Amino acid sequence: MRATLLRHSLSEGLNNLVRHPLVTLASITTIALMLFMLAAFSIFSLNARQMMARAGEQPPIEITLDIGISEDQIASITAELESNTNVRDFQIYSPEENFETFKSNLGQDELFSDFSADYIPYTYAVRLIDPAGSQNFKDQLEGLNGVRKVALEIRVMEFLSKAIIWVNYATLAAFIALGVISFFIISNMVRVAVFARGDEINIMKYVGATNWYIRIPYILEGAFAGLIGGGVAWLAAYLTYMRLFDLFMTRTLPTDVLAMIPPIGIAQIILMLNLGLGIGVGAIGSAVSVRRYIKV
Amino acid sequence: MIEFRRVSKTYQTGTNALRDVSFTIENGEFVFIIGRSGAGKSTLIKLLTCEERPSSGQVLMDKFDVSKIKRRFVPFLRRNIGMVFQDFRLIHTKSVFQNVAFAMEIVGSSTKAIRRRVPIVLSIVGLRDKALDRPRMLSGGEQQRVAIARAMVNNPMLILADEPTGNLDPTNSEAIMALLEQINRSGTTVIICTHDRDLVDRMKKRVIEIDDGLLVRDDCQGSYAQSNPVCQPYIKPVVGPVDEHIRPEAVS
Repeated sequence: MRATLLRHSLSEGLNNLVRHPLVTLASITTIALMLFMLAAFSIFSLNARQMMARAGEQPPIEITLDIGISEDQIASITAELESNTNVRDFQIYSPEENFETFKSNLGQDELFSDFSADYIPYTYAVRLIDPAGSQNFKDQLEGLNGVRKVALEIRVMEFLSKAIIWVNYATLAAFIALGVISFFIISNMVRVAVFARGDEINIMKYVGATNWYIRIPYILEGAFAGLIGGGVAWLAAYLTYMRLFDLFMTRTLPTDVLAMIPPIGIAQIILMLNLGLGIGVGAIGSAVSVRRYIKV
Repeated sequence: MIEFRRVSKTYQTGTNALRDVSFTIENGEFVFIIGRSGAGKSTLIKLLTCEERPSSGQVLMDKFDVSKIKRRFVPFLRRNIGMVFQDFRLIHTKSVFQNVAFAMEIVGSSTKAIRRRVPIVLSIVGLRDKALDRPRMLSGGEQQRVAIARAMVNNPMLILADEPTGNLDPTNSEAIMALLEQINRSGTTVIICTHDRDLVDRMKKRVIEIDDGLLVRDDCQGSYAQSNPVCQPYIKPVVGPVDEHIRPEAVS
C-alpha cells in the first residue's frame, strides 16, 4: 500500500469514527457485548477443560476385588488393565497395604489389634487417559471374574464433560446471533457514514479514485470499532473473572481438581481472541456493507 | 480524439436520451454542447465518464472504445478527464489546497510532488493566497476556480465542464471561460455543456447542439442560435508564451 493511501485511509477511518459518535458507540457496544459473552463462555470452557484434565490425572477409579481371590485371577485382571488402551497407569494395593492405610486414616491403631488383613480385599487405583470413557471402563471391568466393585468418581467428570459440550453449543449460538447483530449494526454505521459523505464519495469517483481508495477507510473504521469493542470486552471479562477468582479460590488450593485457572493464565488467550474477532467482525461487516453502498 | 459513432442511449424508463449521435472531437479542440434541459447533454457527458453505457454505438477516446471498458478500469479512465460542475462540488471540510491535492493523492502522487505542483496550479487560477481557506469562505467564482484547479492538476487530456458558469455572475463567468480557454490553448481538449447564450456567442467556438436526443447542429465557429452547417477542419492552435505556464510541469 502506498504511503499516501495508507495515511489517507488511516486518518479517514479514524475521522469517520468520531463524525457520528452515537452510531459508533452503538457499534462498539454491540461488538463489546458479543465478545464479552464469547469471552465468558471461553473462560468457562477453558476452566472446565482444565478441571477435566486434572480429574483425569487423579486416581478417581478404584477397583475392589473379591476377598480371598487367587493369584491367577489377580494376574488376569492386571493383564486386562495393561492391555486396556484407555488406562494411563494403575497401582495395585495388597490387603496389608490397604489395612495400613485404613488404620493410618483413622489414627487409632489400638482399635484394630484383634483385626486381620484377611478380611480386606486387593484394590487397584486406576487413572484413565480419557475420563469421558469411565463408564465404559467400569462396565468392562465389572464383567471380569474376581472384580467385586468398580467405584467411579465420575459425577463431576460427567457434569464437566456435558457442560463443555453445552458451553460449546451455547458459545457457537451466541457468537452467531451476536455476530449477525454486530454485522447489521456495523453495516448501519457504514451506511450512515457513506450517506453523510455521499457528495465527497461522488467527487472521489469523478477524480478517478479506485474502489479500494474509497472503501478502505470504511473498512478500517469497522476494524477500529471492532478493536475498541474487543478491548472493552476483554477488560470487562478480565476484571469480572478476577473478582470471581478471588471469590471462589480463597479456600481452594491451586492444585485442587476444582481450582480455577489464574486470571493471568487466560488473559492473553482471551485478549487475542477478542481483538482478533473484533477486528475481523468489524472489518468484514464494513467491507460487505461498503461494497453494497459504494459502487464506482 | 473523441468519437461518438452512432451512439444511442435508452434508459430503463424508456426515455431515449440520445439517438444515433455521431461526431468527432479532435485533441485540443474547444467545444460547446448546447441544448434545452433534458435534450441529452448530461447523458453525453455521462457516456464520456462511463457513468452510463450506450445502448448501441461506440464512444471512442483515442480510438479506445470506452463504452466497453471494464468497471474496475473506469477510475483510470477518469484520471484523464478533469470534471468541472455547476455546483463546484468541493469538499467543504478540506482547505483549498487540500481540495486540489486530493485529486493528486488519489492518483498516487508523492507528497513531494503534491507540495510542488498544487501551489503552481493555484497560482494559475489566481488563488495561491487563499490556499488555506475553506471553500465556504470563497466567492462562487473563486470556488469554481478551485474546481478548475482540481480538474487540471493531474494534467488531463480532456476537461469536461457541465454548466461551469451556471451559478456565476457575468464577470465571474467571463473569468472562468478565459481560464478554460487558456487551459485549452495549452493543448487540453475542453468540452463545455452550457445554456449561457452570451458566452457561446462571444467565444466563437465549435458548437454541437443536441435536441431531443438528436444531434441537430455542429458548427465550427458557431453561436448559440445561428446555424452554420459547414464545419471546417479543426486546426490546432499554436501554443503561445502564456500557455507555457498552464501545464504545471512546464513551470516546475
